[in-house]
Amino acid sequence: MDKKKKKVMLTPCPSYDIAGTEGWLEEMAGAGWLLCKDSIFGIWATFEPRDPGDTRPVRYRLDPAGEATGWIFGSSRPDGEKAEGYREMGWEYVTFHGEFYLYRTFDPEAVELNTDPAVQALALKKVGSQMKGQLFSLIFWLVVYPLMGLGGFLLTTALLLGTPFFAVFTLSFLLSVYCNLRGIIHLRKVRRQLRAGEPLRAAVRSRGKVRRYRAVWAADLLLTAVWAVMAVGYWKADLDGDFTHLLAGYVEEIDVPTLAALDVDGEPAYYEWTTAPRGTVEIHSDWLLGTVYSTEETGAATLSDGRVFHGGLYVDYIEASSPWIARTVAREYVRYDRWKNRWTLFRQESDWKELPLPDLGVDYAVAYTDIFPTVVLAKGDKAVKFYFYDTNGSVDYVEMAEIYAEALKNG
Amino acid sequence: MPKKPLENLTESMFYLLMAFMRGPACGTDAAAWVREKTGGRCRIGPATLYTILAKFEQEKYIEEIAVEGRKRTYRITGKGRIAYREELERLKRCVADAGSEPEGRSGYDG
Repeated sequence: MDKKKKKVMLTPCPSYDIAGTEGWLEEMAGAGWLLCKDSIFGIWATFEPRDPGDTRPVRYRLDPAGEATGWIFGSSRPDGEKAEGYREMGWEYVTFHGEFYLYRTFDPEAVELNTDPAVQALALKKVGSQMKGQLFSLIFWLVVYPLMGLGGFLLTTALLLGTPFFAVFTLSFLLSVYCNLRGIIHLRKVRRQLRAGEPLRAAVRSRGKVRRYRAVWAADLLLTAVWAVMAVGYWKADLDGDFTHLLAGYVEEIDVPTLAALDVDGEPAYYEWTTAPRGTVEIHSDWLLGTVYSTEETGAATLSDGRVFHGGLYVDYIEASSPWIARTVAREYVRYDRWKNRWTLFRQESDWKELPLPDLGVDYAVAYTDIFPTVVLAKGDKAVKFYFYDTNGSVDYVEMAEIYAEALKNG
Repeated sequence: MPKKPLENLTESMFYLLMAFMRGPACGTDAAAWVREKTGGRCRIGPATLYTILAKFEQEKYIEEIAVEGRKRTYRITGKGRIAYREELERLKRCVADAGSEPEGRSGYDG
């Protein structure tokens, strides 16, 4: 059993700094430490001591893998013929590092791994393409896809999830883009140098440079960890129902008009045909953007004039921290519904129809049919979106809009 | 957009094509032949060798004809022969141009 004491060290430069990485590994070998074979070599590296008296010079070389590397989803070893060919020429495979396979030789007579800078530039082109692909998928999956899914519903989503969550996510994303771009630019420079016939040279590894590199990945790691903790916290709170409350206990505390605002005779009788409580309010508060109250009511209510409302009322009521936010959120609601209606899989042309509204004395008012009658209003720093269905057809959307417009003006 | 073929062959590429012009060979044997042919002046490292082989295969300059264990044998294609001859012609013209100039000339004197 190998009882040699191993040493774990943080890497001083990213994997794409080929000459820097090779130089550092050779310095470590000079100091008596060899990189462990088939070990994880990423932001840290594991070394084992050299045998006493072993002073052979060691050369380490990074070689573009030309394929995805990884322990689970990629390849952790070069293909058999290639590894065999390298071994015949005196180079043993050590492990992979980023988009590279790492080889080393103890034989001073072994021919260099790369003997033609122009060909090395050609091989590095693939690494550049891989990094561009990573950047593209980063942008697609973290920006384009969510934006497509949200249909430009960004501010409203930020309101629901909270500014800190969004801020940490954005910072983490920007940092990842920055690191990736740096790699692409660095490799482009290296390729230009190689194409000009100049072999790779290790740049001076100043302490400041090493500190900067480590600070960036530490920040990246920290942001990702914080974001993950926040995401799990949010998810758990949502599962535990921390955001959702029975409306009965909140009616007095919130300004959101409910079914009761329809001049109901007595109390609305919420349907009991599902296990979920009917008549709820979900509250999300954010220190920067404001608070959103989402109420859900399904049931029957007898109005004082004898009409009977049978159906559901769904409201998003926003107390924003500024009129601009209130109006932007209101526009986002409309844009989202229009977008959803246009791109939904089983689209029905008749689903979307603009509805006329009288002058309600608010800053922004739009009504439309998106399956159900929907009204979006904004006044000052407040906005509201509601939609409802009434199987009896006893309540009109204009009547509802007037109730909510009044609430916005008086709220 | 079609892929851009190799514009100019580098010395290692040219010698490797030369090796395949002699007959089918595996990569390491071809590299060993180049080293011997050039008296050790042109040594082809493993990374250079396998990058060139992959590029040649992609450009259809060579094709794999046999796999024995981990050893792959390649032979040159018609396209590879054309590329080799074109490069040879270019190099001959370079040498002819140099030969037509008096040696030791120090500048452009018209």
